[in-house]
Amino acid sequence: MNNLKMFWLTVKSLGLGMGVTLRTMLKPAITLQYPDERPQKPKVFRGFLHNDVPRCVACDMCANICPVDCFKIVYTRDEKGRRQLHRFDIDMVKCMFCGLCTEVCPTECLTMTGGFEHATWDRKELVLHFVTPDKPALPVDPALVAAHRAAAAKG
Amino acid sequence: MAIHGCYTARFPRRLLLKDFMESLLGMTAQPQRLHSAHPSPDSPEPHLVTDEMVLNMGPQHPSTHGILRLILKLDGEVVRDVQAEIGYLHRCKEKIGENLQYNQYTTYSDRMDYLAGMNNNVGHAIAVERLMGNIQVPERAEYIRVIMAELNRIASHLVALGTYGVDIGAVTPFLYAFRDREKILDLFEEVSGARLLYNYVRIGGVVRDLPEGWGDRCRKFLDYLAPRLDEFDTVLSLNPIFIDRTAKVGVLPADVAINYGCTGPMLRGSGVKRDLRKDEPYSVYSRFSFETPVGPGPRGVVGDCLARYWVRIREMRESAKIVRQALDQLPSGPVMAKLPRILRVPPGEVYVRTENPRGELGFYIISDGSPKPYRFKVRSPAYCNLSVIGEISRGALVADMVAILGSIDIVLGEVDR
Repeated sequence: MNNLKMFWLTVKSLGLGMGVTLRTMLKPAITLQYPDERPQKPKVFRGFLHNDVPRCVACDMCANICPVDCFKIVYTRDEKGRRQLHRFDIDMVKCMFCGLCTEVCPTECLTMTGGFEHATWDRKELVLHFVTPDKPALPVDPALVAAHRAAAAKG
Repeated sequence: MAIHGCYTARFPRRLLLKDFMESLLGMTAQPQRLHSAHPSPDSPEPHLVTDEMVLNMGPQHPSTHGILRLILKLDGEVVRDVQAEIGYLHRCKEKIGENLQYNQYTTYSDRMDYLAGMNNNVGHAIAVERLMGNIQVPERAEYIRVIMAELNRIASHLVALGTYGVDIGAVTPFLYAFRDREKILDLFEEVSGARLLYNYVRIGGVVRDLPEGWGDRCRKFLDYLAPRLDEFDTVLSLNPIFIDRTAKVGVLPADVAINYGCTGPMLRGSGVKRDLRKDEPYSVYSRFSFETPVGPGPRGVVGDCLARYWVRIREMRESAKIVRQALDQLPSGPVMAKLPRILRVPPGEVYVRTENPRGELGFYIISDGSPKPYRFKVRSPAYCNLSVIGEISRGALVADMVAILGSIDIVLGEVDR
């Protein structure tokens, strides 16, 4: 008798479980078809770093707070003692996206953007140069990309 | 017949369809209980006893939730001894703590127990605040910390229970659990900007205030969560197959649990009512009313896998209760204390423990007055909980090892640090 009861309990729980599954199936799907549909990102999203160079005063605070030393900042002083920024590189490979640097920035020129889709073919491309004018912040060399793709296709 | 008899004497008996039908119709006696007959070397049939076999479970094994190697000594299907080999995920979290300023370390405390980053942040922040001594954390910040910690406890338990279902063989509840956890991560993303490594709680408060309408969205989520937990119970917790797999498996008596330093749901599953939020209230936990669930579960005995599972299930409801109370009482005001950029910490030492989803998370910090700690030690709950695995899995079957390991709810990022 006990076994019959166990048998019935198992069948019953199976039915109850399948009922939950059925109810879930009838609900609208919450899947986001990612590359076509974009998730709504909050304002405070911690994505790739961006430095608005004209506002930067080269105070070095971001480099001091950074736990992983991903900043490379070079500056000189002009005759009035003001700092002239010559180089402001961020190694996004090292960056751990903690956002400490954006909090200490006195002029709020260093911000975290919503960008996160920066897969590249070369790790060096993820070192962002913000001051050097001939190198854009997120460089993509079409020739290099084509060469890598060809190599990948060849196997 | 004799051969059949040897077989049943040598190996634990599997439930066959024939047995099932026979027992259903009451033709034969009940199948004998597992673990009942294992010949020892001095048994009547010593020629049947073979050597012990050493089996490696891991380092790459889906149910180890990370990189853990269990060295099993097997006698047939029976586990005679288990040795846990850890260290595959060691990232020098303690040494890093000695080489960073106090306020830089929050971002690393996220990465220890990556399923409960907020709880780790809170623990570290409280430790440094006590060491500094003179910090007045704003009331609102304390409440926000409690809300975040309890939401993260729910999220962490959802992962633990969902993956436990997968370990045992139920895939559907896993997807439900992750669907609900996703909503908590959305809430966290709004306040902190990240979904896993929040870095939200700081020494002296929290980074920024809650965005507009966040409280309402949080309440909406809690309303959504309650029926989902009932659903979860229907699908998994009260399922007879699941209960059969977990009840009376991996029994951990209370005295053994205390001796091994087990904490959290592991200890409470063994029937010990120990919760640091109640026993040594930190932050503003003393202002909320909530229960401390203890084992046993709906069936089985105190300290088995089902009891631990059941404690977690009930803790989620208690956490939801705390979040609701905190949202109701949430005062207004600043969320960050006034602090210098580089923290000056007086010489001294402190040990602060907080209740993580996995148990007691302790930070032991020695300061020599410089901006960096002299010694930084973390007492991680998962590490101490894992140490008991040899004790509770001796005599179990290989098939039950996964159930036992899953019920400990380890996060290898925290075990190895």
